[in-house]
Amino acid sequence: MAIDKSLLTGSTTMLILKLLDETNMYGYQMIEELRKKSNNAFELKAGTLYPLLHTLEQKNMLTSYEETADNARVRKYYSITKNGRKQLKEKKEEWKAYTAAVNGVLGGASFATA
Amino acid sequence: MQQPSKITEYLEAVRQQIRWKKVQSPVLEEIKNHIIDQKDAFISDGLNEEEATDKAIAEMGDPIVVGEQLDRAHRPRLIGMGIGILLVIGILGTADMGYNLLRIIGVGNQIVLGIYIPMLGELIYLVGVFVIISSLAAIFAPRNISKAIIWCQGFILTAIYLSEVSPRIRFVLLLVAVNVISFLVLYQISKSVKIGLVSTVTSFAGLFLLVVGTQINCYMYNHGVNGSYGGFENVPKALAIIFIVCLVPQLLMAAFIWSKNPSPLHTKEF
Repeated sequence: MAIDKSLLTGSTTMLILKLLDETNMYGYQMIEELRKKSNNAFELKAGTLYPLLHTLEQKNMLTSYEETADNARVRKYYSITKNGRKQLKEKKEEWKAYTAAVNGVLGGASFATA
Repeated sequence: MQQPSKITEYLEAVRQQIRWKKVQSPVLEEIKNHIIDQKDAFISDGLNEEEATDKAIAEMGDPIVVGEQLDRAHRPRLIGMGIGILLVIGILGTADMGYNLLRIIGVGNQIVLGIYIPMLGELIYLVGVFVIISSLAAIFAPRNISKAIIWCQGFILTAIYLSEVSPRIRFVLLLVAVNVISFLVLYQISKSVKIGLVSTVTSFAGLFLLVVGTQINCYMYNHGVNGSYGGFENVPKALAIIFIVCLVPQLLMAAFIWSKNPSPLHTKEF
């Protein structure tokens, strides 16, 4: 199932941080992982990913290092920082509150508003 | 060698959008690796070399958009800060700096190549300020309006020079600077030239009233003290000056933005 792009943009940062929370990755790997984990629902474009990665690096949520792959190409790996983990936690909570609210409305019940 | 050149072409298009030269190579290297990874994946899915390359490039998205986003992610903050500090020093400096420079380079008076130039020191100082502001605009301002800012700054600094030659209009220039800045801030927030122009026209109207009010005050004072109202010859001059320095920069800026964007009148909704 393809998902409306506008739904994705706000949560992309959170998804990236989550991926990197598990293991260090390079850009292409992140797109592949995201696609697999979401059953092809999240088709993150490289054109969106790299500017975002670079911005997150500048905001000190990620750091990067270079590693030479078997085919002699140098790959840029990203890893999450302490600050990044903190942000991830906050974003997750935000997301939970948001989805609970949306579910509350969609379900027709008002229990979401405590 | 058709295939590598397609990737090179794409990378070149991206490169042109990234203004900070220093980050171009590492960023492009990363993008290139990504395209190759993607291409290899398509090849192992059964596509041939050419199809795989085309599809991998298509996956990346419009190179201009990608480049612009990367450009935004890589503003040279440190360099910019340095230039910002220089700018402040430049503005805090005075025309004396210009005259000192003249003395140092051995041109002690205001005659250059046999031509008398009034306020040469101020002129040199203002040219310096112009260079600094232009660099700042080129680094920080959004691409589509940086040229407009540079033009307008040139215009305003010319106006300041003229006002140094004739000191009466100096106070107006401060207001012009405020005016231009507010135009840009409003444009940044609203992405609408129209709103910027509305603010400009409104502040012009404010200045207009100020000039008229000051003049009336002046006449009343003259009348009270001297028994005569004094001359009226300054009024058209003052009005012409505020008209030119308040409206022309903004109109120039608006024209530049309009010429860059096909439909600039749309307002971004929040």
